Amino acid sequence: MKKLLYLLLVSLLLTGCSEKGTYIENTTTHDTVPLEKALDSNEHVKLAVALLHEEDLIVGIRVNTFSRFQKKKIANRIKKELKKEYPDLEVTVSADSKVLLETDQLIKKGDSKNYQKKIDEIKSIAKEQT
Amino acid sequence: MEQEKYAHLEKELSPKTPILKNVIKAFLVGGSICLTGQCIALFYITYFDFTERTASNPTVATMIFISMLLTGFGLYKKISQFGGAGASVPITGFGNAVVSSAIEHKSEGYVLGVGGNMFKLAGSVILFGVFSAFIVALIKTILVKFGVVSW
Repeated sequence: MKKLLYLLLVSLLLTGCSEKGTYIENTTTHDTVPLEKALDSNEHVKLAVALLHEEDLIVGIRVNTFSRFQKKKIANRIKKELKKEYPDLEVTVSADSKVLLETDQLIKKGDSKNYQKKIDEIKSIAKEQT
Repeated sequence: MEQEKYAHLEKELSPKTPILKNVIKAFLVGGSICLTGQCIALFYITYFDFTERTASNPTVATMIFISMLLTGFGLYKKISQFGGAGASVPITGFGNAVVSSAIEHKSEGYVLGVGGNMFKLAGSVILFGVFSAFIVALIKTILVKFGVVSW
């Protein structure tokens, strides 16, 4: 019983910090290097999923645990940065895990016909307030 | 017997409170309740159209519903006996306070018994909750007006 508890505890501790990196899906002709640079160079971001499709750029980020209190500010800062790099795209950056989850699912499904519909949905979710 | 003497004697005779043990128990129980809440919030975020911001409302409702069921079955009593403040400080303690007083006064009738006594304990939680929320909102409004913080 005690061994099992230890095993559970260790696995919990280990899985807590496994997800990391930046994933970008691009269906446009825009260059993704500045996007990758902006996301990778930010020390607060530990996981980012981005999708460029037609006129939209959606970025879902997960920030480090101790940066969570300022996650809105961090997302706004990245949004400003990206707007400068991609002036002709509509940029949405959110630190909400729902946006990250939905964007990730959308990319993994790979159903590019439904992208626009889903992107509009994600954008409306991101805007929603309590 | 003098008052001081009595206080001294009482202190000597009564068993010592195991503070550290109680704190650890409260931490474990309160932490487990919060973990359950986090799991429910993640469930709402994953399977419904809730964001981290909006998922808190249905999560709180579900947690209160669960604690009300547990109170009705007499299980929450055991949890709070073990966990102490860890079980009564989270929102589940509020549900427990409402339902336990409703059950207790059921014999006095539905209107004067259940209705009149249901919020005997929870009433003060609501009053001071609303009051402190008002004060915090007031402070934040002033700070936003002066540009110190943003909404």
